[in-house]
Amino acid sequence: MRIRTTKKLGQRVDRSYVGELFPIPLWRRILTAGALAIALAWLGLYAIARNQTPYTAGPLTQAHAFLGKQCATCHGSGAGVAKQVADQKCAACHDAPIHNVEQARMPVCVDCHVDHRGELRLAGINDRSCISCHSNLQTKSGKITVAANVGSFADHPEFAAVQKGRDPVGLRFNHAKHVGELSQKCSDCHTPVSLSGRMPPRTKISDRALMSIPTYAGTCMPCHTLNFDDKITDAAPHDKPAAVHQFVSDALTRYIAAHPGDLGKDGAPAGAAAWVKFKTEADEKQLWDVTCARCHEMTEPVASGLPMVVPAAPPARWFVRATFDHGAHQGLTCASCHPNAAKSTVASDLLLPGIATCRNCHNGGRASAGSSCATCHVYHDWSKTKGVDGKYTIDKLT
Amino acid sequence: MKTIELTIDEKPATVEEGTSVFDAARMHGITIPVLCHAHNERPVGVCRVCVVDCGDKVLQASCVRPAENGMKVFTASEKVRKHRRMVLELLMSDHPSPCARQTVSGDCELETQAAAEGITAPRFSKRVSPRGQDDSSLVISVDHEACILCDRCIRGCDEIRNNNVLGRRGKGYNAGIAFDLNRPMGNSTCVSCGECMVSCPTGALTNKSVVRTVLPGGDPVGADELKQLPFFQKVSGTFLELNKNAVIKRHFKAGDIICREGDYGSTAFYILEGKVQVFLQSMMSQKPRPAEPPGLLDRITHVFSPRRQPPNANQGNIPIDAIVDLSREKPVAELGVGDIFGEMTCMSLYPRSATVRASTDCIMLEMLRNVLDVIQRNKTLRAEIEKNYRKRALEDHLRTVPLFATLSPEFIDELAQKVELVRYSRGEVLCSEGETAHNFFLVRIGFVKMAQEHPGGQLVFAYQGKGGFFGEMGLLKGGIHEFTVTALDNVEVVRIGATEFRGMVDRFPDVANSLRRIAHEREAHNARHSAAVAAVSLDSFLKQGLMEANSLLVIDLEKCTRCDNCVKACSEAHDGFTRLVREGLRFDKYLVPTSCRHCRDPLCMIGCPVGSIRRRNSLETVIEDWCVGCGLCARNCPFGNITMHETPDRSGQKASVKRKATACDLCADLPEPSCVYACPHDAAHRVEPNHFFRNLISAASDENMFVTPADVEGGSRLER
Amino acid sequence: MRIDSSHRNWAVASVSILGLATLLYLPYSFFYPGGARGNSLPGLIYGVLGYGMMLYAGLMGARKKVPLWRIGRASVWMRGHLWLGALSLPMILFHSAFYARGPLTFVLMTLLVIVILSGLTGAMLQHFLPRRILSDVPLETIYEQIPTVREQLRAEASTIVDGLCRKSGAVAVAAPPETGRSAPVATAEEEEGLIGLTESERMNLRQAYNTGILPFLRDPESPDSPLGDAKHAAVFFEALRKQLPTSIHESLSDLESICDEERQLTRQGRFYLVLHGWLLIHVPISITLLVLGGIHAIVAIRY
Repeated sequence: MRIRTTKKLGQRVDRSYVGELFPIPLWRRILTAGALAIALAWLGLYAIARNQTPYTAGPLTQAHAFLGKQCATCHGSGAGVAKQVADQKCAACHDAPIHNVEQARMPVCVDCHVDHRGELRLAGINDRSCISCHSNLQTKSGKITVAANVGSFADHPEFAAVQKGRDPVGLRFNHAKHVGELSQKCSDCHTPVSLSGRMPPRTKISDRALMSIPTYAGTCMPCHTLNFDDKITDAAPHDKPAAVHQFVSDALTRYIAAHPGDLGKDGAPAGAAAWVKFKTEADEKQLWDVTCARCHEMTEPVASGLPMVVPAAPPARWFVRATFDHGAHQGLTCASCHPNAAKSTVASDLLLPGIATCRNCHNGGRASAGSSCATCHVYHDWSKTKGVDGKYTIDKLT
Repeated sequence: MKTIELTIDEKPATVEEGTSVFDAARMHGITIPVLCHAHNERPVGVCRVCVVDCGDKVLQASCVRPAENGMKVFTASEKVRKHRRMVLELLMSDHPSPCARQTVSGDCELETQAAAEGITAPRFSKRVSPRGQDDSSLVISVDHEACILCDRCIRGCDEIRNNNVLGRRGKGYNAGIAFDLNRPMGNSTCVSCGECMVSCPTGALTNKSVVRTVLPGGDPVGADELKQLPFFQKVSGTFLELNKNAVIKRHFKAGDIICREGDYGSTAFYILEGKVQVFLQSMMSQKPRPAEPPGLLDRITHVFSPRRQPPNANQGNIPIDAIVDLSREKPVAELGVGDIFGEMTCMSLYPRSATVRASTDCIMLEMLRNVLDVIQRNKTLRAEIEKNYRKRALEDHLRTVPLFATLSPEFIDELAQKVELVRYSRGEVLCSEGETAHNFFLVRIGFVKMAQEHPGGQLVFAYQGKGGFFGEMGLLKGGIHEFTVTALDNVEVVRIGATEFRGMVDRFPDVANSLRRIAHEREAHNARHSAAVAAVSLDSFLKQGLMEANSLLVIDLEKCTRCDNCVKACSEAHDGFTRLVREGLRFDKYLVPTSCRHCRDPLCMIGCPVGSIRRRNSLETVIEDWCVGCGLCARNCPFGNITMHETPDRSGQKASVKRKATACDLCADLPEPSCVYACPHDAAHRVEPNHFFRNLISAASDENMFVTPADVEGGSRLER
Repeated sequence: MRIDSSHRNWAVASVSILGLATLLYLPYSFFYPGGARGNSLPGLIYGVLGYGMMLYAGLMGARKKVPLWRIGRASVWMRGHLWLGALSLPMILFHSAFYARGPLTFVLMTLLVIVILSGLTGAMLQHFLPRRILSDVPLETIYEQIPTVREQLRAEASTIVDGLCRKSGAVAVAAPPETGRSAPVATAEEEEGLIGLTESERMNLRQAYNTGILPFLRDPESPDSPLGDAKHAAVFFEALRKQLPTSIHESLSDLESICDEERQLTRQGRFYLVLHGWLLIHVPISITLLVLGGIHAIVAIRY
């Protein structure tokens, strides 16, 4: 009969086992040492190679990736809590012109451009950065020239250019006649051209962003020649009145010299000089009052005896604060955004589409065309770019 | 002197008047067989073996019949021989043949004579009711079956040795010899002189050989030499001869170690010449743990893990197996000529309580139990021992009793003269619970059990060894004994009678007030302890003895992940040796591991030769520093909660290890038991089992289920 | 540790902390300029909190090494370890803004997830297994002492069989091996001459012992032995009981209980390996996590 008593159970144990190391605790120590060794070796090897890439919080954008070996290149080497990359570090390679002198708060580079997020467009700013100021705009002087509370494209005000309401071009032009009656195509007169001025670096804007300003020589002249005399085939140049006067005068002079028989005919004076003067007056009257006045506003002849043409000022670029790229929209017909062109009779009609037109496609959400601030706007005023005076050497950066 | 003429076996004989027939025959070369007549004793004529035909109607017992003139005596006629044979046959019918004497030495007088008469198989049946054996004496074996009631032993004890122990008892078939008022021989006033044994013709009284071998290391001492010593003078020379090998004379040079503490032995020593030094080696080489650790790292650790001195650490002296106690501060004493040491080792086989080293060249007697017993019963020696004890130790012992601690030296002196040294044997009750107290007792040798009766059974309050005392209530008016005190082995106590004491107190009135105050405190103290001990329902868990525990370590097996942190913590708290192992029986979902239970009935405390395992002011069991490593407590503990192991010597002077007993001390020097503190899974708890398991059974919830580590007065963790 | 009602306070506190942290995280992640990221101020706070919780959890291991220091009870530390350790995961997720693609941060996140998962596994094991062990292994002993106990069981079985087979020295028996420990749990009743087995019965017993019981006791975990399975063992002993007289059936029951104890010890061993094995993943990985996390914090703050 086997009897278990506490005494027998207690005495069958060898109490010296307490100090000994048994398999599981032993392996615990071995594995701890091993794991630590592997981890430290991994970091240690990188440290020996002076490569700090393991410590990066996320992959750098490809352009910066080669800088990843040394954190100090961008982050500086002083310790600090919640320290940000200093602007002068970015400025060592990048130029970043200011946005607006009236800016009440100057954000630092890293407020908007956060790297270590993998391959992404660093310049592709989240709306948040813009909204942080523009949802409640403050300026240094207090004067505000743009909308003060813009939170998203949904509450973006109407475009400033469109708000003007009229085209200040100063010409007379009847789109309806040309497009409708004469069945001309938009592209007969309007051709896409690239943006002028400084662009943000590596921008994706095409070279067909703007539409050209139609010129007389390029668009009008084929139909609207400036003939001034039925006996002279040459057309007057599309130039200032003084030049036209000179040309007319010269042309008539040449003509009468070649055709002296026309002297004295039809009430014209017989003397060559008088004839030229007489004819010039008559032709110029035709020109000033009929031909030129067809498109231009002409003033009464002033002291010099020549009228002044009210200058036509078609803006090369309507949206100066945003970048609109016709090339990105070349899949659409002109009339889908400019429907009023076919009906417009006066040149002062503003044929720009309003924001409502854009919102047909750019209406927010994943399934729409981009409607973030950065789709159209650029923060930095690239017209004021200065370039960078580079100071790095190759060995410093690698 | 008148002479008488008579004829014995047809031969003439002339003897003086008053000579018995037996003597007359003997003088004339005729030997008459006898049984009850011994030549050095007064004849009584009870056996009737020596009957002769004197010409009277009946045969006459020759040992008592005086010779008369003209008697014609026939000592070997057919009639006489027939009678003699019948007597022998009748005697043989009740005799356990072969008796002890016949077996050992072949000289049982009855059986020898019976054989000579050709009596081999008696025709009569044995008596129905046996008279039994008496094995209580250490030196003499009593077989009442073999007794022929010849009266020789009685005459030897009463008339030759004048000890007056033996007598007759009973009538008819129940008649027999008796010691005192029919007590067992060992419990009687018998002084083991051996005279009765020497005179007994049969195997009724035979010599008990305690050992069969010679004690090594010394020279055997002859009976003549022994008889030079005062306390052997009245001992039978034959007895001494028979026990020659049980006592030897030993010579020691100065510096020799005579015995070591903790060793087992079976002998006592009596100093004939020289002086010895008695000390506790284990204590002297152990410095106490310093309160403030010296090193810087230790001090830092100490901040996190502060240890404090256990309370009440130093109280009283250390009792050892000699006439004196050892003091705590300097545990060294000296013994000289006439002192005995090692009595408890010899008598009850306890381990040696101290190390004894000869300071000068010594000669001493080393003896076994039977010889020591002879000495101890000897009146001369007893007087000497008492005198010594009174002179050297009694005062110290008395002073350890709180009641006497503040008394003046004169009082103590006078008291010392009035004490008695009384012996009790195993099982005897010294005082009973509820009786009016007449005496105060102080234990000098041996162990007693102090117990109380409770509804569920008997509860042991304490085991008291040397220096323990009880019955102090008896010294004051109206006291009643609170405990039944029983002797567990051969106990010797100092007994102070209440009457004498009270008489003394009357003469020292200022003492009375302080005594009353102390007694009052003592009463309250005892009441508290009784309450703690008595609050027990002994109905269940008896099989595992769980209810015996004052404090039980239980491990909840539903929470325990067997991570061993408790054991590691215990090990760390105790110099790298754990006092806890996670083994034991289960109770419900709990494991009850081998960790001291601080039992109400502390069996471990019985027999500690130096009183190092004890209770202080509470019910906790503690093992003090001076443990000598004998291992008795470890064997006694029924649960195996005490272990012996080598403790490193902390004195730093020499590298040595001492075997010591260790048991869970509830981490008295730390705020909380380490095992409970270190268990990460809330599985280990120290509980008071009665309360704890009662809640378990009744399914009532009680937040105070666990013993809280509160500092109760006296530092006990057990009192709630 | 058993997750029971005593954890209520900790659970409530932890859930509250988690709720608060989440509530604060939501607006932070949507509106904070630059987006939610590790080195923004809220991100850093989350990181410090998270690392602090991990550090505290890691200190549990150190706490076990100084069990006597009065720095709080081990069970309180353990509760903290469980709850705060679990909280560290959401804290670190908030800190990292759910983005961890740098090499070191990716490794850290992986390690954290492994640690949390292994810790959860361990917590569940510690919740459920002790009860299983309690019911399935009534004769359990200290795991580290299983070889010692097995030795003693072998000696006990050998003594029983020797006692049964001995008859006036007829059969030469091997003495029980000297174990150096104290006596086995029970000794067989050596009733010399009273058992009275016949020669063939003794042979049977010896045979059964040598071929069945002894190999099993020598290698209790081998799959070959029939005694490794309770049912087969029952069959084995039943057969043995049929062959041998009823006077020794009690001793046979003793042998059977010895085999049962061996099986229980095997089972205990397996439980133990499961109950403690997960620590082989949890501990090394968490130490590595703490060290690497510290390096991460230092480098991140430095730059």
